[in-house]
Amino acid sequence: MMFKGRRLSAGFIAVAGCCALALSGCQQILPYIIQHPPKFDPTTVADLGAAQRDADALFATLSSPASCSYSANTAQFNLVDSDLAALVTQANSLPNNSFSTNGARALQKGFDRFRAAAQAKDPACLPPGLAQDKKTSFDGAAGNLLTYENAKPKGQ
Amino acid sequence: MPVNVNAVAAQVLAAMQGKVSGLTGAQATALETAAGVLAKSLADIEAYHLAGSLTDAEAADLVTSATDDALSSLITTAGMAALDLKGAVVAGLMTLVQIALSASGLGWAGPVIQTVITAFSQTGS
Repeated sequence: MMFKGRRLSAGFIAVAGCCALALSGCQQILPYIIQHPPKFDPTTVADLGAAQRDADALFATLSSPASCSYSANTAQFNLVDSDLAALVTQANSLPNNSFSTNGARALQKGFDRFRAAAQAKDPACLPPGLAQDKKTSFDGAAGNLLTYENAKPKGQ
Repeated sequence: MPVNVNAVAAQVLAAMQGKVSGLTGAQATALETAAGVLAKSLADIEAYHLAGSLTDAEAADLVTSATDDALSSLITTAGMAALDLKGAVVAGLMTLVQIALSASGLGWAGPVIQTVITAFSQTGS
C-alpha cells in the first residue's frame, strides 16, 4: 500500500512536471516518466551540501569589513562555482530530473550574477546587508532543493 | 518612495497562489518565504541604489540574482507540489514587475525582472 502510494505520488509529480514544462512531445514521453519517476540520488545531495557549505563560508567573509572585497575572495567564489557546476551536471545526468536540474541551474545563474556584482564593485565591497540577503535567498533555494531531493523515492 | 516589503510580498504571494492548488502547509510556507525574501532583497537593493552605493548595472545584477534564487525555490516547490510551474512563477514575477513599474523608487527594476521572465519563458523550464 505504502509503495503504491509512493509510486502514485511520484508519478503525479512527474506528470505535472512534464505538463508544466510544456515540452513539445510531452505526450510521447509521459508514459515513460510515469513508470520511471526521479529517484533519490545521494550524490546530488552531497553536491548540494558542498555548495551550501562553501557558499555560506563565502557570504560570511563578504559580510566582514576586513575581507569583503571580491579580489580577497576569488578562490572561494571559484570553489562555489565549481560546486554548483558539479551539482548541475549531476542533476542533469539523471533521467526525468528536470525539476532538480532547473532548480540547480537557477541557483547557479543567481550566484553568477551575484558574483558579477561583487566583481564590478572590486576593490570596494558590496554592502554587507546585501551579502546577508544573498545568503538568505541562496540558503532558502538550496534548502528547498534539498527538501525536494529528500522527498524522492529511495531504493529501486 | 520607500518600498513596503510586506505589502509587496503579500501581493506576489497572492498572485502565485491564484495559480496553484493542492499545496501542503510546508509548501505554502516555502512559497511565502521565497516571495518575502525576494521582496526584501529588492527593497534593500533599491535602498542602496538610491543611496548611491550601487551602480545601475550592479543593482540589476543583484536583482537578477535574487530573482533567480526565488525561481530556484519555486521550481523545487513546484516539483513537490505538482504545480502549474510556469503559471505560478510568471504570475508572481509579473506582479513584481507591476509593483516595480508603479512604485517610483522601483521603476528601474521592472525591465530587469521582465528580462528574467522572458528568459525563463523561453527556456521552457
